[in-house]
Amino acid sequence: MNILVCIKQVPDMEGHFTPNAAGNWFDETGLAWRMNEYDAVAVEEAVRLKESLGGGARVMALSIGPARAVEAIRKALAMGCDDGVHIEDPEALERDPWQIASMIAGFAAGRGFDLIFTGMQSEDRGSAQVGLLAAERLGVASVTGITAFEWRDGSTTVERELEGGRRCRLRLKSPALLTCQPGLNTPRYPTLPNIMKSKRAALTVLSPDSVGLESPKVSSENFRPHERNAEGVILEGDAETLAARVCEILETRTAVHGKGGAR
Amino acid sequence: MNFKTEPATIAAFLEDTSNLKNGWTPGVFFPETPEEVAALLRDAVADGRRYTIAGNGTGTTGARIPFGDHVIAMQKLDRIGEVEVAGDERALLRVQGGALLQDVQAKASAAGWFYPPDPTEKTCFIGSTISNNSTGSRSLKYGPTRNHVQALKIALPQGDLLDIERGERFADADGRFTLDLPLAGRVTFRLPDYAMPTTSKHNAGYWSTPGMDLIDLCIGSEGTLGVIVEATLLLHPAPERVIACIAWFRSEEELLDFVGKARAESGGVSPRALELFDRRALEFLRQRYPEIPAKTSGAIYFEEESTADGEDGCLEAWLDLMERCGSPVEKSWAALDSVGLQKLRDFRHKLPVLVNEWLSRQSESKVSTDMALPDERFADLFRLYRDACDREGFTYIIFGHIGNAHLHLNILPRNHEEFVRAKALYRKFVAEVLAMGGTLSAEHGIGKLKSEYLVQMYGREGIMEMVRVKKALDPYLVLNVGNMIPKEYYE
Ligand SMILES: Cc1cc2nc3c(=O)[nH]c(=O)nc-3n(C[C@H](O)[C@H](O)[C@H](O)COP(=O)(O)OP(=O)(O)OC[C@H]3O[C@@H](n4cnc5c(N)ncnc54)[C@H](O)[C@@H]3O)c2cc1C
Repeated sequence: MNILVCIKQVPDMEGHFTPNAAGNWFDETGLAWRMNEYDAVAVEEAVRLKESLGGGARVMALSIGPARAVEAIRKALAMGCDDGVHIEDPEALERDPWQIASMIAGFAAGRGFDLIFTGMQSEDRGSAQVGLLAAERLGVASVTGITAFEWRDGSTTVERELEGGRRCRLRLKSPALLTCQPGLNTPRYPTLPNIMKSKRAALTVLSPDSVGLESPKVSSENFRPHERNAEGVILEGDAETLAARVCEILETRTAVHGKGGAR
Repeated sequence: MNFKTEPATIAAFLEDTSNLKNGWTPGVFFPETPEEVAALLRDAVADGRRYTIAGNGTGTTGARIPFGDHVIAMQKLDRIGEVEVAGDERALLRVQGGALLQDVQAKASAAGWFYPPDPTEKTCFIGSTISNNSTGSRSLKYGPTRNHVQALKIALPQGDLLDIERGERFADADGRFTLDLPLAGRVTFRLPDYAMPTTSKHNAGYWSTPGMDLIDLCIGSEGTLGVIVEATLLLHPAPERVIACIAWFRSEEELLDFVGKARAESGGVSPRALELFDRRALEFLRQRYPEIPAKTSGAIYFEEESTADGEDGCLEAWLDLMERCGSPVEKSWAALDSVGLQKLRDFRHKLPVLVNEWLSRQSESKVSTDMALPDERFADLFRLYRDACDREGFTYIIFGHIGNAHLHLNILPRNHEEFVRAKALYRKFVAEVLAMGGTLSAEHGIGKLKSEYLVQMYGREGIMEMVRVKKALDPYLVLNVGNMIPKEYYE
């Protein structure tokens, strides 16, 4: 059985984000990088499946990104993936979902993957489109945001969470692509020997053009970092003045009053 | 400056994590500048007030809980300055006493620097960590908070604001400090005359070494000599790489062997942290972490700083050491990146949190130790605790800073009879640890809960030496009275 997992290296979201020179995306300097959390869940599920099948299954980890993305691939190997592929693309961070999906599909086409796992979305861009677009381009079945997974005799059963805690179960035949979300599993800690093995592993490096990079369909126009809410005000005075001031603020600056509410 | 007396607002100031009950206060002051703190102290005698200083309430010894005193809450003094590079691989960061440790660390790290002290609990205030000389897992390499404080601004009990820069005021040949202060006038006193233990961590009573720096007397004085309103911290360059790993062991003897070899840097390892989880502690954690390997007799968490070039060699040295000591390496949990490291640290932090959560649902309090022995005797301390608790049939866990021979034993009594027996055993441990050259408290301090044992450590004469120093700086006994020194020794 042949399994592919697609992973992205993203900035630590606790970091300090500023717009880049063009103002259309964020500047990379000073950010720390790590594997997208959703993708860690995808890697874990792929490795668990491989382990449950005993020998004969292989998991390949694929990442598109600049040179530093190698660290994310090695982390996937340390978690138990067998092979690593790096599509070295210095501009990956700014590419739209269509372009990323074109490269994934270009790479995967004809390689006979039975299952492809991806994260549901990336923490930095959050489009939740890449997996789906890649599945479409490959012409395989797909389910997004799975929270449970089972493989039996060539058929896959997955669960999705619907609004309000409702769930549904779906069955599909491989080849298929599944996008994963936290809750599906708890990603493992790599062991020390696996970390060392992953550091020595040879990776396949490919160029974007060799896997069919296409032109973008959407361009990012403007990036704004998180804007803090307006500062708090401290009111002073006796109870009556305070109450009057609070009412005034509620009326003039919020939607609390005047909608059949308090008054 | 705000002053609050409403029961709902001040209730939080009657607690820390010690379970000490019945504290009360007429009211809480929220000063916003060092001068406001100093003014409260200056007028204390005239106003007929005593003060207890409140940090963020994570202390374990009841130190910030007032028993009738007014409270000085530090939380509004929370400014953090900018990192100033000082040359020779150092930078300085000026902060106010009520800044959160985690904010201070974040500020340093955003500028590419690193503030080493890391008590497991990060929501404490920096002023408290200085007044408690706090330590953490990284103290194995970097030592306690004391080593990372370059200067202090301290509001003294008579209302003077004193700036102390490290390297400027030393005890003279006779062990005497003399200060000329605008309000208090000439204050002169000799260092407390007693010998300190030779442990690498020690936070019990006033610091005293020949020719010492005045700043070191203030650090670790648990707020009894003044309020730390500002501090200049020493930062180190952030390490290029950090590796972290949990190694599991099948037997306690193999685990202790591993610690001994790691401490001796066998095979070229150079740990900055060596932390123990004994078998029972792991059972506690298993509720939350079912992936902990079965049949484990204990685990060691270690960290080492490295470089991009040195990382492979460093990993190999650890792997080799683990294999030599019988650790099942294929089960280890390792991390090279920030997310992984944070996950492992969360695991470490979860232990005291789970224990405290569990305890809050029990009728009896835990009996816990914070004692340490001279570093090389880490195995003696572990065996002392384990064997005695096994003989008594207690439920207990042992964890913590084994690299510094500093272990936390928590006895978890199932009923009152066990609690009484555990208390008696605690007294025995204190006597034995002191006889072995250890310290009563390595990091949590004495506060209100452990002052009776401080008497056991230093004797009446030793306590009176502390009283002498305290009274020189605080003649009218207005600040943090009841902490560290038992009240009756003032009479
Ligand atoms: C889960 C957990 C883990 C912990 N782990 C560690 C650990 O690894 N290492 C360690 O050392 N400690 C540890 N502690 C203990 C505690 O976090 C430290 O003692 C910390 O320094 C207390 O900070 P705080 O702001 O909460 O102080 P508080 O509890 O509010 O006060 C502590 C003492 O400091 C005094 N004080 C506060 N501010 C000042 C000031 N500005 N000037 C003078 N005196 C002042 C108070 O009067 C009081 O005596 C742990 C606690 C918990 C709950």
